[in-house]
Amino acid sequence: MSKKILFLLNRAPYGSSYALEALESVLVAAAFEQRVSLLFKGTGLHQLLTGQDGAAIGQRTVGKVLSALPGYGVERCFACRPSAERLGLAERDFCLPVKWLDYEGQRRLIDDQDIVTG
Amino acid sequence: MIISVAVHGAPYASSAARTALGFVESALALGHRIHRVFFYHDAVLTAAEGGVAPQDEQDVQAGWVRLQRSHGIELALCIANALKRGMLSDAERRRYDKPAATVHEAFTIVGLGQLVEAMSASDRFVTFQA
Amino acid sequence: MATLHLVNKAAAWADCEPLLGPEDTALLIEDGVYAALQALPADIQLHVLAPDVEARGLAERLAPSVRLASFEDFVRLVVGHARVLSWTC
Repeated sequence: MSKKILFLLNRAPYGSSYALEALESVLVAAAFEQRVSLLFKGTGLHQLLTGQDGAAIGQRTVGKVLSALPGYGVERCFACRPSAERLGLAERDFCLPVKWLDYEGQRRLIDDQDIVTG
Repeated sequence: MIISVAVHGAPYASSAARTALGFVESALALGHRIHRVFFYHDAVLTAAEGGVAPQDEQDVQAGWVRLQRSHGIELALCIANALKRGMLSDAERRRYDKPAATVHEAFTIVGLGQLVEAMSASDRFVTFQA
Repeated sequence: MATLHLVNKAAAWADCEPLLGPEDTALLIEDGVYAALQALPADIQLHVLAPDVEARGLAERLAPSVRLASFEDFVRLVVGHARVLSWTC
């Protein structure tokens, strides 16, 4: 059964393997034809920065994995506007088009989901 | 209800596996069905074979093994997360020519598709974060 | 239908609180229970996991509006909400 699954991504891309491993489950959920959405919040927004090169520290480049998502049918990417403002980030910093959501928009997005996970 | 659980936190460095165990025990006691427990990220280390728990602490792995034996609950480890952390079943040990299996036999190694299947097949899905 | 918000670190409360809808419930677990020591808005449905509260010596320090939840209560909360959102940081 196809479900609406929201992945809440609030971890920095390189300090731990959480971000990359979470994206692996995003890709598999999309491959199994679930209706996947992503919500980037807090330091999770740093996953979206352009110009990343994970090779400098022997890791895969998170930004590259994210840029490939539309090709896997993951097109619903949302970003938390209040956290971006706090961190001084704007869409021109990002490698992927996002829809901006304030808190009310995020509440509505969550209310529309069958499952929310990280 | 049919409930599945994901555990994300490492044993000892987090409480995730212990809290999830208490939740699953109570869900079963209340008559719910646990479809799958999926260990992801460092939580795959919960399955480490041969750990010796201190006598004055709860042995969380033993609790999971007990539930697997009594209720046939599937304790699933993400294969990609398990292999890179040295968590190998006997089959994986052979495939990669490693000296020893390191996963307790009550746990099974599965692909990430089983995580999505658990989400799809369950009425509720609860994530226990690190 | 409403969301059950699990919070397992006190610092994650700041992320959770703005997204609590009027029908939602928050359940503080593990180190998230320390968030119940702050002055919190009275209109929030707030539960704390009892064993985690006891272990940390917080039982006598909680506001009267905070409700103690057993693991069975935890399960009932999960069943009674449409989805579970698990906050950490």
